[in-house]
Amino acid sequence: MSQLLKNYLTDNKEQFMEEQELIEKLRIEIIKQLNLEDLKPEDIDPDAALFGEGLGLDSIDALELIVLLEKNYGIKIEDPKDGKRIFASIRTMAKYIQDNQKA
Amino acid sequence: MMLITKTTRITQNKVWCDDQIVYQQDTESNFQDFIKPAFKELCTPYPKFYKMDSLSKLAFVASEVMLKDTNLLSKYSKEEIGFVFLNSASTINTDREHQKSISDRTNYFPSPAIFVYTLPNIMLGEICIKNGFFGENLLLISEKFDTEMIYRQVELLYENQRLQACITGWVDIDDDNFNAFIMLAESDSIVDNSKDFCTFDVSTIEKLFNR
Repeated sequence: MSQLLKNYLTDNKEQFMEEQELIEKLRIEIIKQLNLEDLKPEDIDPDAALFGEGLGLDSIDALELIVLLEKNYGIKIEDPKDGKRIFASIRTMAKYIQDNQKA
Repeated sequence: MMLITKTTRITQNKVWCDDQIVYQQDTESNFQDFIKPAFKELCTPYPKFYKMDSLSKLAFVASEVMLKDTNLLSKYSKEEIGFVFLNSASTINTDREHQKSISDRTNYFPSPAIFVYTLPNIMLGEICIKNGFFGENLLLISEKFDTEMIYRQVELLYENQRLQACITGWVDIDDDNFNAFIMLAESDSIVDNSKDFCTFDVSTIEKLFNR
């Protein structure tokens, strides 16, 4: 295997591990922040919709998620229209955090 | 004329429905340690309960216990069922919590979910949403339980044909001191008169509240 390919695979593995760790962290933070007391972290599918059919969160929860991003990750959402895309699922949130913390 | 068809009382360690204790803890505990197990034992699962502030939780459990098996929407239209509540401390617990979140300028993260509960009439909204009631609702702040005020306001809504059934009473919490006493007042033209219900009047309300 070429060194280039090895590096590529290592980078991707690290990125994947980072994303998984972030997803686990977000599951716990969301349960705490939104008082979802009847849920355990493993009950939340990282790809399920946060709003509507999935977790069934409401508009106040959306505001809480914005606060969570700012308080815990120092990320401010400048354009509220981006919220729908960022908060589609836990995985999209994790991706957004990774992209914007690196920037 | 209106009749009092049901009452619920919540004190520091007990929940009463009419004359029956329906939930009891051996010792007085803090509010959260009391209300959560009471909710789990007395109410059907309702995830939104955990998001409510302490005042709404207290009102919600009291209303769930009282409204159980009443099937009000089979007797009245959703617009004919309303509320007149009194309390003294307003939303002081939530106000304190909100203040805490904004007192440090370097760590300034007010919570929208806390802020929405800094209006005491939200507790009425929570009960309306859960039960599908659309009638008039009124929350008055009063230093103490004011029988005359409760009676006057409910009677006014009834005589003006705004309500046929009214959930009314006192729901108050300050820190871990809490107290709820609510009644279901219904039109005597609808209620089964063969049952021995008390009349909704000042002396009866007074007597029931102080029992």
